[in-house]
Amino acid sequence: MSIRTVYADGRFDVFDGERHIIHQPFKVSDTGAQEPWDSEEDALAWWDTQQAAYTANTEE
Amino acid sequence: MAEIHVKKIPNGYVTLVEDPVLANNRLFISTQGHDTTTLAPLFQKNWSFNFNDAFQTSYADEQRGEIILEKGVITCWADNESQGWDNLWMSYYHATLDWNYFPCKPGWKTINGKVLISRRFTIPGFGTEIGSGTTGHQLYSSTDITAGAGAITQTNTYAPNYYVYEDVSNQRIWGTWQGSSSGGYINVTQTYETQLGTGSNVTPSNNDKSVQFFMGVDDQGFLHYVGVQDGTSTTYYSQYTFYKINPTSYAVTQIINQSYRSNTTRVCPRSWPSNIRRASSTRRVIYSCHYDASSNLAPIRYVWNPADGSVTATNCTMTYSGANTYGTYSAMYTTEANQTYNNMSWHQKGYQFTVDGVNYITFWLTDKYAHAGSGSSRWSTSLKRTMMTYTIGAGTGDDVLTYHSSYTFPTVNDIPRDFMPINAAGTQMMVPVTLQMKFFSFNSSTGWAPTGTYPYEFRSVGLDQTNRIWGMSREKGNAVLHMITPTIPVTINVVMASSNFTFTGSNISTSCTVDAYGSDGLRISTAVNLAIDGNTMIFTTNSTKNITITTSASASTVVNLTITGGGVNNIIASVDI
Repeated sequence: MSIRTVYADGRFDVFDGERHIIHQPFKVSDTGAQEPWDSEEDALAWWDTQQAAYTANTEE
Repeated sequence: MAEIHVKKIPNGYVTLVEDPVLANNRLFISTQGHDTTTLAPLFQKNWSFNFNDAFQTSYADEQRGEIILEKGVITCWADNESQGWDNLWMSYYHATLDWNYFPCKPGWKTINGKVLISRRFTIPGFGTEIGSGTTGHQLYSSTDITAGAGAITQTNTYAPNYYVYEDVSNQRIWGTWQGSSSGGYINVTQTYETQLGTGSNVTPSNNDKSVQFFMGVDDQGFLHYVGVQDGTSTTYYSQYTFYKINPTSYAVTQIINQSYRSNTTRVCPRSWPSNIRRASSTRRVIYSCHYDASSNLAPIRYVWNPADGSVTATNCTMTYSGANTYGTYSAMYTTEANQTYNNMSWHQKGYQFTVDGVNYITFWLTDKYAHAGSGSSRWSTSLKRTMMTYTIGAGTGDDVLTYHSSYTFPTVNDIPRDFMPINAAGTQMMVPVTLQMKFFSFNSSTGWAPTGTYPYEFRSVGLDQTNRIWGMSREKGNAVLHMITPTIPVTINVVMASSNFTFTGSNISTSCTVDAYGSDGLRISTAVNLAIDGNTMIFTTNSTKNITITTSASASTVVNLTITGGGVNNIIASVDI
């Protein structure tokens, strides 16, 4: 498992090795409003809430 | 209605499997092929899960009523309140929100005439398996799965509970794997027509304690899902997370994060999303069945635009007549005996349908374990046992839901274990309950009402490609298969012209009217046997006390009678089934 995050032009992506696991081009919300991320820190803070599910063993 | 088959062969073989290649027109009943139309046995056409000529006997889910049918299956059985009997791993009709366009199926005929079939060894585990584990799938190389030495490849890796989408252009088969404390997963297999085992388990957004519902594919080819999280932890109260998956990179994009209404005080009401209504090419509409802080039903409308992949959430406006409120009719059911994971036996789910251009939604209450455990507390009042139907506002005003009608299930045993429409309009439902199968019909004036009963308790029921209803029970053998025909008469009315006559020594000519009604409450034409219980009345036509008449679908049928003396006479009606 080799997690790598990329923030560029308001888009946030997460890779596990060569595998692209997250493509998040907008800030997540509970209404569906697709507003851009405020900053990389903003995106990384969201990723902190998500990564536990992705860093568990997802292969047999 | 008929008992078709008593299964004597051991557990490990699915009682009823419809051939995924519909043109073959075959049903495998206890592994033996039968013609779907006539049910005549097809000798030399025998099938069970097999690979390299070896039968696989580890399949055990028919204990829970496993059957596999083309138009969907619902399950209606739970052994207790502490396993995932209601996590959709077998009840695949509800695992897609848009069945007519994107059906979920454990058996799948591919574009090039191969067949994939998934097999579940046992119920999904909670806490150990992730993404597959208790599930395997097999690939058969031709459209005749009875031919040759069986499957050419099989694996547990990336095996779904059921397939949801064959991406022909990118050569992938997608499926969903439900269950596990870690929530549901999405499985994708590449080279699915030659060799299984290459692909990915895709982790959904916010999948912890979740059940995954497939919505379909947008115009860019992305797969869309909504996951619903439930558990005893106060962290979860049916939050909806909408996300999409890139069809080739498998990257997940979250669209709506943990949507819910304000009621977070009571966990595990299990508010599942409704089916999709296709309002227009850019509006596919779903409703939640969340509650507000006052425990009033307060759904959220979600509009999915498949053109751009967006989903927008809007709180619904609920409208009642005069001073009435939700509490006038119903109350949020309580959730005694909820579990740590998403494995409670109950849920609520909206179902949308259209009658004469008007859209309605009914919020069905279901519980596979209402009859025991804490069920009597969960459904202790008539208000808790009342399901609500609303008229949906026209056009883009469909965030306004106006009270239409309500139906109160009379007792705890009448709470539906699940529901499934049996006609295209969605106005007739089969509703298995404790000890019985009920049929419900919707009337646009009066709402839902029961119109028939079949007196067996089922573990699962479903529809084959010809729209016949099959049910699996376990009152004897290892399973009993029933074919259930709701169009046979379930109600016969015989009405005499008068209840009293004065006999003065001369024969009296009179009549009675006979009507037969099907499970939908409509008059039907069928043969009815009439027998007179008494010694002073005969049927005029044949001068005997027995006659068989054929009722009319459009009017009452008049049967002439002759009274020959004084005394009490009754007419007993019956039908042959």
